[in-house]
Amino acid sequence: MPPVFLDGIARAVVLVHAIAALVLVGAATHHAVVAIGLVRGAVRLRLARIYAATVAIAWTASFALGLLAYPAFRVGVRAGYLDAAEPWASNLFDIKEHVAALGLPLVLGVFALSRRLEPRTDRALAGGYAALVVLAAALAWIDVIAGLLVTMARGV
Amino acid sequence: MTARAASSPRAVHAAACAATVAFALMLELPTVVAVPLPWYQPVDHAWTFGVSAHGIAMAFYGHCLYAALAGAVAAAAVLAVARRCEPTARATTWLAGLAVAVVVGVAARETLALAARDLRSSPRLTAPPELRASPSRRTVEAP
Repeated sequence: MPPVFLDGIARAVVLVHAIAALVLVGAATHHAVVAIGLVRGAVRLRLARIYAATVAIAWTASFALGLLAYPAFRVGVRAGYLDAAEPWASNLFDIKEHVAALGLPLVLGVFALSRRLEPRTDRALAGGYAALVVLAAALAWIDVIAGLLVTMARGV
Repeated sequence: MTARAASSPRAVHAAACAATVAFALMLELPTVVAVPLPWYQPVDHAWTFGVSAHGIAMAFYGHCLYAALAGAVAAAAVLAVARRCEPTARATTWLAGLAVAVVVGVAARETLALAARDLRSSPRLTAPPELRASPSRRTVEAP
């Protein structure tokens, strides 16, 4: 394979990327449960703020690490193997990266909103917050499952 | 809308929704119309700018750059408006619904397009025969 950006440490980068994704999917799921609770009157605002910060940090870290490892994947894995042998995995990877990008402004916006949210005095806002948080959790699960499936076909 | 100063929680919510919608639409725009983008060519360690690129090339960085710029501009614009005129409860609900619908719609459109993508003519490295035949990169050496 020709030399590619960060190819020598691509596996380490993807390992940390996967660890960040594990943190992300756990925090996003818990955050969704807490956000639904806000709508139903079970106000645990401090917990919501902690999960919002955790999700924002984990999503940003996972996304950034994925961007760093992407050239090694694109050349060594996709062009070198997947496109010919497992094209479904190449397509699934591109769906995964697209979904990951879509979630980034969502979780950063939710984080900013969580710092100011007062669900006891604004029920409409609690509903809007919960909708965004549940969507972010769904996107996180889609990404993690897609990432596992692609890696089963071939990793860096 | 009712008059109110400073960035209230509803103003921040409106800005977050606007950023999400603008980011998603701009991320999808280059797949709908021909938009010149920065492309990274990992084999050559080079960047090019154009509607398309030759060989193994990556447009994702360019897509994300444009989308991030669109999201930041939308968030700043909506925050400036919503600080002066706070969104109502109904507008808050509608904005959240719009953000969810746009993200789901863009993700569904992209998924349908990519699921049908034909990679038979995509640029490839010439892999050794053992890599082409086996899904595992590991090889077993004879003692």
